[in-house]
This record gives sequence, structure tokens and C-alpha cells, in this order.
Amino acid sequence: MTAVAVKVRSCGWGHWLWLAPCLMFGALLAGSAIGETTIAPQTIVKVLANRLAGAHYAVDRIDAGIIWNYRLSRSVMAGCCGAGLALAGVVLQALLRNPLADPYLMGISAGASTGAVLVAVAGWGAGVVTLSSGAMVGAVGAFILVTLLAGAAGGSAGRGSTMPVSGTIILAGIAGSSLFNALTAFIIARSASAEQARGLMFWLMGNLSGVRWDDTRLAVPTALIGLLVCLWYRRALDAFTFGADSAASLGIAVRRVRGILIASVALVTAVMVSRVGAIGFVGLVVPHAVRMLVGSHHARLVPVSALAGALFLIAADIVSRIIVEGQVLPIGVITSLIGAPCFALILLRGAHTK
Amino acid sequence: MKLVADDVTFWVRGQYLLEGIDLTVHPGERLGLIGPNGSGKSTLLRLLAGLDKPKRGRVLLDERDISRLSRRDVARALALVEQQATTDARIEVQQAVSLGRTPFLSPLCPWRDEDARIVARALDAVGMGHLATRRWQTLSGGERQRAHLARALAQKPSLLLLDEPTNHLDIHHQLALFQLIEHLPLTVIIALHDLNQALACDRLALLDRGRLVAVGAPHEVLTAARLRQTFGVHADILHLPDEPLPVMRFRQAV
Repeated sequence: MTAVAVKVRSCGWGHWLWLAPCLMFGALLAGSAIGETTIAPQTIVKVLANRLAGAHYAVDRIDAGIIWNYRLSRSVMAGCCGAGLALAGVVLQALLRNPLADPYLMGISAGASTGAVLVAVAGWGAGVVTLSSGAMVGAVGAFILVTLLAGAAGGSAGRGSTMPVSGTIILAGIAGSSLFNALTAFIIARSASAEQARGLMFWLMGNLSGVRWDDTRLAVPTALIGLLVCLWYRRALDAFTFGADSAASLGIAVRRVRGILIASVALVTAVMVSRVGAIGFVGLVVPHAVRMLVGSHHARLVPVSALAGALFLIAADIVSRIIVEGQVLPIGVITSLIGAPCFALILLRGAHTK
Repeated sequence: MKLVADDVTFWVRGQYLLEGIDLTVHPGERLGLIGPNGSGKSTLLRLLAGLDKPKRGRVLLDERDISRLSRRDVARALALVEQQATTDARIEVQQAVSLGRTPFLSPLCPWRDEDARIVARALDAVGMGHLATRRWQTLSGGERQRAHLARALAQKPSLLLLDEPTNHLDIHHQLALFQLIEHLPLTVIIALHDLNQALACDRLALLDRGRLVAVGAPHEVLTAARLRQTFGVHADILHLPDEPLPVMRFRQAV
């Protein structure tokens, strides 16, 4: 009887696989169609056919420009960010065994912003260091600082473990975020011109305006690499369920695996933040919602979270374009409006289960 | 499989937790680790499991230094049940037990029917087959500990290391767990608090302040003089007519 029950675990969701590209295509279609002027889906398909398949349909040139150069690139970028940040949340929550872990709340995004601003405004690295690698250094620095602080604050989860427990990491994250946000503001005030500063402040909120195809050239492969790394280490992520010691006794090379996963998270976060700024709460909300749907098995959680994150951010981007007429809100405002209440819900639920 | 501690020494921030431990665990035996709180039982188990590396000396698994083996190879030979490891994740019992198959799976090698069978057998072995689909959080302490044991058994180890597995369990569950362990065809190293339970082991290793003070058959190790020395208690060792094992009764030593 048990054998039958256990077998269910292995058999998959293979027959749902076709749904992923359909949903992505639908979301990108919606992202291209909805906006200040609504464009018919047929027009979008024609533009796509012209661009990608070399067809020669007659379409309005302004529509074609809006779709291809403005909305589609933006939606693709939103999708990459959503997938990447959701994956970052999944990995951090698994490794830290903390439902509240998220690149934004832990100050990793803030660190990435500081790194990016250092390169972009203060001119560090003298043109050799790219924006993304500056952000990467900032992201890794912030992660190390925040986990060290949380560890030193005494919230260590058991013997021989350097992984801090629930609340401490959030407090350390607040301290880290505040520090890095202050540093960013300081660098901007010192080095940026007034006009530059205005643009940067808008960018810091998380903003997809002005995203072009160039920006997606790094974001798409980064999101895909992040997804592949997480899928490759899906069993290792599962093995952390009962902590790092338990993972080690299950045959996981904890130091190496943790290093690789954290580096990937930092890379993904850094690349996304350096293009579109710190978009909050995606890594928190999406994995939680997905866990309720498909459980906490990482073989399912990882791909579904990536997909859901992409869809979520594309949708949030659409909302940010239409919610206030004649204005485009920073997408970070939308995700925070959704994310903050979810954060509160998770806190409350945690309080009930204790 | 043979596990040997050779001059194993471990310290944290200049404070010795273990000093010069020489211990050989023979294949198929049940070795009990006993000693007062803070004597180094858990530390020794962690070192024997390869979770920490001795600062001096070596742990040898079949003549090979355990710190040079890959974690995966170690996990295929040896399973550890920690004290009360738990999780907030929403997982089912069978999912927790399936983790025991981790060292046999790789990113490209999928979960096979064979793995499912091993997990099911491990669940049945601890009498939890009927709880396979229960949420982890709904289990009692005894059930959780049995599930951990099932997870360790799913690793198909030849060596099983248990760190005070009966801690926090009521007497019924303590006895049930012991009976279970007693019938496993494995080499078992078990850290214990209850000295009466320790009497059922094949051999005992007594630790005191990080040193191994005695190794041998239970009646050789647990003498009244030694109990007074290490635990500071006076023990009466009683032989009951129908019991194969003696029973110990303790009083505060003066």
C-alpha cells in the first residue's frame, strides 16, 4: 500500500509542460497589447511574424514601433526579472530555511544598487568594470554583511550551523538595506548631476521605462542560467529541508553547493537590479503562492516559480502602465503594494503555526 | 564496514571538546556512547559522521580517511540521525523519507521505482507506512523520530549513527524505538543518556570531559566505582530473577 502511495511522488507534471510556453506567449501578447493605446492581438502577431519569421504583412509603422521597440522588449525584461527574482527567493528560502528570505528584504538588491551606482555615477572601475559586475560585487557584499550580522546577533540555528533563524535575518536585512540605500543616496548626491539624480531615484524604485532590446541581451541568458542551476541542484535544495548538517549527512557538499547557489542568486539579482532597479517582494510572494499550488518539492517549485514570477511581473508591468491614466508608475510600487500585505500574511501565519 | 577513530581531537576557540579518542567500531556491533552532559558525545558523533573534521587525528571508514572521501560516498555508507531535526516546510512524511535517497540520485538520474520501493520499505520498517502522506507538522515527537530513522534507513547505510534518539520521547516510544534499532542488521553507534538502556548495547564507550575513559562490555564499563567517578552518582546494580539484563538504581552520591 505504501509502495503505491510513494510512487505518486515520482510521477510528474510532464503533461502540464505544454502550458508553460502557452502562458508565456499569452502574457507577452497581453504585455504588447495593453497600454495607453490598445493594440489588436492580430497586429501584434503580424509584427512578430515580420520581425521573427521574415514575413511582409502591412502594419501601421507607429504600432509596429510601439510593439517591437517599446512594449515587447519591456515585457520580456519584466519576465526575466520576475523569473530571476522568484528563483532567488526560492534558493534563499531553502538555504536559510526561512520563509521570509528574499533578495529585496535581505538587502541584496540594495547592495546591488549601491554597486551599480558606484560604477555608473562615481565612475569606479574606470570603464573596465561593467554596471552588472559592479552590482554583483555589491550584491555579494550585502549578502555576506547581512548573514554575518544575523549570525553575530546570535540567531544561529543549532550547533555548527552559521545559518541564522527567522526574525534575525530580517532585522539584519533592514540594517543592511538602510545602510546600502543611504550609501547609494550619498553617492548620488555627491557625484551625480541634478538631472542624473532624478533619473536614478526613479530607477531605484524599480522601473522598466526605457528598457530596450539591448538590456534583455544579458537578462535573458542570466535568467535561463539561473533556472538551469536551480534545476540542477533541485535535490540539494530539497536536502536542506532539515538544515545544513542534515544536507551534509545526505551527501551534499554543503560549502560548495551553497557557494554556487548563493553566487547564482547574487548574479541574477545583480543583473536584474543593474537594468531595472530594486523590484521588491517578487522573491517573497511568488514562491509562497507556488508552494501552495505544487508543494515544496524543488523539482516542481523551481520551474513553476520561475514561470509564475515571469507572469507576475509582466502582469504587474501592465498594471503599472494603465492604473494611473497618462502616467507610468514604477513597477516596484505595484509589486510592493501586492507584496507588503502578503508579507504581513506570512508573518501572521508563522505566528499561528508556532 | 569498519569505522575507526584514531587520536581524534577537536577544539573550539582553544577549548578542548575531545582529546585523543581512539576507538574502533566493529562491523555489526551496537556501540553505545555514554557520558555526562557536555562530555563530547554529540561532537564525537559529528566527527565520526564526517560533519566536522578533527583538528588532530583521523576518522577512518574502511581504512580510508573520511575527510578525503566525497560527501556522497560517505552518505552511501553511513547515515546520521540528529537530535530532533525539524522543519517549517510543508512536506509529507514520505517526502522527508525520500530525502534518504539523495546520495543515490544525480541531477540527470531520475527517481526510479526502486527508490520508491526502498522508501516504502523504510517506512514500513519503522511502522509508519500508514502515515506516508501525513504532513510533517502533524506528527508527534515519537513519529518524527521514527520518520528520521526511516530516512536514515532509506540511505541503505551499513553504519547508523544516532544522537540520543529517545530524547523527549515517552517511555512507550523509547522502548519501541530501541526494539526497532535492536533488530536492524546494521552497525549502530548510539549516543545515550539512559544507562539502563545502554546495558542492552554490545559494547559501551564512556566519555568524560572529552576523554574516552572506558570501552568494553556494559558490565565492565558500568561499574559502581566508575559511575561515581564520572556521573557523581551511587549505583546499585540489581539482578532480577527473570531478566537477562541487570537493572541499575541510582542515588545521589555523598
